[in-house]
Amino acid sequence: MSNTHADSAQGELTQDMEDQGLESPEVIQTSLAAAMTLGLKGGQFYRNAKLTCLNLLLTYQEGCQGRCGYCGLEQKRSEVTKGTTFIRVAWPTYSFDLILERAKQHQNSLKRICLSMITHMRATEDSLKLVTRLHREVNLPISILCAPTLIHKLEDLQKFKEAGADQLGVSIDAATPELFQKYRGKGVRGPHQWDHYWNILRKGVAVFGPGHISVHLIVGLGESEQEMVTAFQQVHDLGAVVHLFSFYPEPGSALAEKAAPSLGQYRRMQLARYLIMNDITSAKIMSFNRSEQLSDFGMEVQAFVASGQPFRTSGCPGHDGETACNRPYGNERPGTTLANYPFVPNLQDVEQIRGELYSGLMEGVKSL
Amino acid sequence: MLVGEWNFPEDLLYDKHHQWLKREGTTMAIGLTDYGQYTRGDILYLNLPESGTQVKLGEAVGSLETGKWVGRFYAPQTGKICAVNAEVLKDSRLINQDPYGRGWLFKIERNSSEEQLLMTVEQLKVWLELELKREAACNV
Repeated sequence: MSNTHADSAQGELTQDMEDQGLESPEVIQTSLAAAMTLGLKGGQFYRNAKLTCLNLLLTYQEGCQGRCGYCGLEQKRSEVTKGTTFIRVAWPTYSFDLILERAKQHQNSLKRICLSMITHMRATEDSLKLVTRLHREVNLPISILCAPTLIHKLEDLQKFKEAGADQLGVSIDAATPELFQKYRGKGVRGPHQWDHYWNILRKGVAVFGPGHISVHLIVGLGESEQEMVTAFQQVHDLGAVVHLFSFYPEPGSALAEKAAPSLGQYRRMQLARYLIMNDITSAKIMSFNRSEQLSDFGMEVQAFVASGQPFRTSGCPGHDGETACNRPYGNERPGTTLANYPFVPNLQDVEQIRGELYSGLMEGVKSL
Repeated sequence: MLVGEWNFPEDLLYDKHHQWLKREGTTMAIGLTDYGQYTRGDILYLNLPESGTQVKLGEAVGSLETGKWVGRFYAPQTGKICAVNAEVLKDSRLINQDPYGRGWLFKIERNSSEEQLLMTVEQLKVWLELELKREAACNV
């Protein structure tokens, strides 16, 4: 009695990659959600969420040369857990040709493809090859989540655009230079530099145009709420858009024992991000308490909370302008309270969000 | 027997929670079917009832979590949990790799005649094919 479904890991090359030395651009990693959506892995989504962006990740034997303390791809992560998860779940490896073929089959249910570089000397060249093929063969808009440390000239970014990418992502991740240095730069003997990331961001806006550049920021790395809101405003003022993540402790990473941010903190940051990115208000109108927590948005926010929209996953849009990159359960375990809603929150969700929004405030508690 | 792409041994009984059941004298072994494990995905976390727990027919007695989903196991009859598979608690991947063998979940000792209507493999085939059609229609 030991038979099981033969296709439970259809076409998966995760083990072969190590055994046979397979690397990008021949092979590519996909998010678990993408593998499920393309019919390459079994599984279902909690609350019938639907993934609408195909997330792909370059992969090399040497791995990422970054040493970011919170990342599942970090080189020095313990051998037991190394490479097992990235953004909470496993990322299986497939031949790029298979992914391309499946992407074509599923292009009507998807809204976007995102290709993530890692910090590896071949990543720029390989990304260009893959973006070119995706653009030529699949009718979906393409984002490139670049590795700024590998990029030095405006022309490098221009090439991504010419290859067919319409959105550029820059994962700054940490909201302050001190945290960036601590977890991505000198603090972990890593290669990344805060000023360089912001330079690439400015160059990206010049090449791709305002609204076509996104910045990833992670809530919960140790920044205050005021520092995070200040970063939102700086990014917005440059013509870019913040896509928000809640810190999740990756097992085996240097920050494995660090707690995820409280829901109260995350909800306030989601709402502040939404209000600033949509030009509804600005950071200078908001008030912060002595603990630098956001205690007052400086305007009536009830209607925005009731819409549920600020609490949806923030990500690159599809042709319809709606968020395509919705990353179901990328930031939290399914079944728990959702940090990012991969769909529009329902009335019950909104009721819960109302209760969370001002929770944990040390002073100046408000209620909706 | 194959139903769709999934294997269902003829000597087992089945319920509508995608669980298989095997009568062994006064006890009943329970696991997840091949279809059940595939559609749920790679199982990452598992909660099973403790041995000695009294359970009622239809009651949720355990839970599982995959990368993107959470769900429950149900008691197919009233009775007492008399064995729990310690191996799957250590390595939940066994449920995906060997659902009818090393991936069994728990055993119940019957102490009541209360039992849900279980399906033979032929009955399961009729029911599951209808379910698959319904699902396919929803996905169009």
